Amino acid sequence: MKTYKGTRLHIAAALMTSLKLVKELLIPLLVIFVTHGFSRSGMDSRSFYWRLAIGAAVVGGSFLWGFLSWARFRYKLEDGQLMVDEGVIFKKKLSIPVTRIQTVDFSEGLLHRMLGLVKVQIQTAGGSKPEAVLSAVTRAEAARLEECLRHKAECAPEQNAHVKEAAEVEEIPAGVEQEWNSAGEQTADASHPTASGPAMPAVSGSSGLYGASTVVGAELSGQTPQDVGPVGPVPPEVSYSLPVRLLFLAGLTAGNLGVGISLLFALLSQADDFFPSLQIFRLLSDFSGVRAILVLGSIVVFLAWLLAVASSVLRFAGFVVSKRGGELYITRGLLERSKVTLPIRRIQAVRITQELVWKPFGLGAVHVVCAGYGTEKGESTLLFPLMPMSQIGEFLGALCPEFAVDPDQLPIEALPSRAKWSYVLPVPLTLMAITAITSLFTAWGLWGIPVTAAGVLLNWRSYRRASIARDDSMLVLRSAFLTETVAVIPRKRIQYLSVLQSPFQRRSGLATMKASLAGAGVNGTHFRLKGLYLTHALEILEQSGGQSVTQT
Amino acid sequence: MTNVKEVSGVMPHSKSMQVLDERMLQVWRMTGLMTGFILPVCAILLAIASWKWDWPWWIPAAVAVTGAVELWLSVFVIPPIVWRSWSFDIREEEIDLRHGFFTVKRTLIPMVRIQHVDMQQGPVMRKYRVASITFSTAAGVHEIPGLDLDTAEAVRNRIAELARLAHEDI
Repeated sequence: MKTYKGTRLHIAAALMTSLKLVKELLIPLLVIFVTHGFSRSGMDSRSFYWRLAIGAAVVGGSFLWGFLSWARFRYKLEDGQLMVDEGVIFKKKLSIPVTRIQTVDFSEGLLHRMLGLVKVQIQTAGGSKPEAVLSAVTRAEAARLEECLRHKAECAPEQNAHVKEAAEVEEIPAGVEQEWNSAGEQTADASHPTASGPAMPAVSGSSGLYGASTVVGAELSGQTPQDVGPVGPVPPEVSYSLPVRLLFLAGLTAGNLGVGISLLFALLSQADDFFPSLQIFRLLSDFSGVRAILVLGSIVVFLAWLLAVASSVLRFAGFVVSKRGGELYITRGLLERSKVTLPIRRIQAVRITQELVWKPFGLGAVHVVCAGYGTEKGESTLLFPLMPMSQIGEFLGALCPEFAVDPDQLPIEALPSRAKWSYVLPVPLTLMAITAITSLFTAWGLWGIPVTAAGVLLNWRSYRRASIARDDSMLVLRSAFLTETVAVIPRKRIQYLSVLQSPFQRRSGLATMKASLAGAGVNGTHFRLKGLYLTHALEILEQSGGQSVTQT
Repeated sequence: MTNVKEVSGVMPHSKSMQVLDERMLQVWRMTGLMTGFILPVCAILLAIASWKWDWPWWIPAAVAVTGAVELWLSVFVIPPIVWRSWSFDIREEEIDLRHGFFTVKRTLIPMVRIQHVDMQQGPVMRKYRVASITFSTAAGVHEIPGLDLDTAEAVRNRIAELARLAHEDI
């Protein structure tokens, strides 16, 4: 058998690598150009050409590197293994057994969308970053890969892939192929009853990434889509999409102000780089007086908020979560689309969050804690950005029944009333002390009084809302500060439980309980609830030992 | 069981608790002694400097006092407190840890959750023939800081064995 060298990525991958490199080198380049170029003695023509040459060399080098890394990158699917060969200077050979692949995620940046390409990220159970990244393949190839890797269906070697080595492909011995076929069909049968029968065509039109996006129009009612055109071989069982009115509400409120502010400052600093004569920061610092600061501050906050809203609207647009087989598929994004796969059995817990501003509307968001997921905060772990709280039970029931609990039906234990001191006192006391001390020096310190009052109110609310509900199979912890969070934790998913008791709690016989779950990274995800009776906490702790062992 | 009036209580030790090896006290004292020498050395250097360049005398004095207190704490006070605060129990189906002086923490780790067990020994620990055991779960690592070397080995093997018996995929 001749060595089958594998498929290259789409040539645009070279361009993307190069552009990424150029982007990363942009700031050092700008420093070279700007620092002495424009500032003092005007432009010395010789040094200008030198800089131009350096710039050209860097850009040229980036493109060369991009091309080389594209040329050296090959992947192939063979004998149930995904093999990747890469590296310009240091060669790296990677082979992942297809059965070990946990998730295959797809995303499309702007350039991808213009060229009709897809970025494919392949993850196994371990580690937090994807094991293999195919930075640009055609949509058809992405669909084929999805079939092969995700559904473990039969995989003919690529038929109409953009780059092929047909002659070599056909030399794979028939025996190997045959064996692989039967193995592939077995796994397919196991995970998708509907996928049995004859082998699927390798590239089935609008399957995969586009299978999900065809049901974008479905209303937020969770009905099985009736006629959604040519979906993939396994049509989604249930599908929920984010209605437009909720999209804007989600954008208005879920927008992270911090992200907005950092975006704004990034823009400003870029502006300073490009137009050094503007000297925006100098302009800003020249303003003086409290009023100017207040006005400027509110302008900054407003702009940041606008940016945050815009970015989260773009991110959440076309949000669809659908269930097929044992997996959830999350598709989202307007300019940059992405599709994430979540194997349902890897979901450890569900987190329902409710921001203060959503409360009057009765809306909430659903997150999941997933083993090995969530390296990028709030992205792959967001199951749904915004939906009426009353529908969440039904939503979870349809998508991941293990977590579908109605917290009101479980025996709820409110916290003992003596726990309120541990909630209400510490922060306001600290704030009060700070207020008192700063007030000695400046009248501004008096602002501490309303802040302290707000602290008391928030912590009081947090005490009132904190509660635990439990039955034999489930722990439901509710805690609140600004955001109210309900954590739905199946007991059998708990890695370990801890009970903590501080000196103050020792006197009142209270304790803090901590449930630790497998989550993103090696340290997992932890949920705490402060102020339970020690005896109750220990009871839960004791139950967690032997019982969870025999379950599952 | 809603709102049962509970008596106040202190976190109990586990039922059939085991304690750390007593040689750990020596180990901690030794390490305390070794790290505790940094500040006194600084104090001496500072004393020389202030004698030479007429620096105020209270600088080396303050450092010397801090160093002395630190040495006293890390050699005489802290090791027995930490030692007493620790207890553990390795049962068939779970590991029970209890430690902490101010905030007492009790953790129960089901055997099925343990992914791997390690035994560790620093140079001081080697001298005293003790070792620590760490075991990892998908949500973090736990440690039993000081056991007799043979006990540690036995415990490690036992945990590994029990964990293997009880293992399941996450």
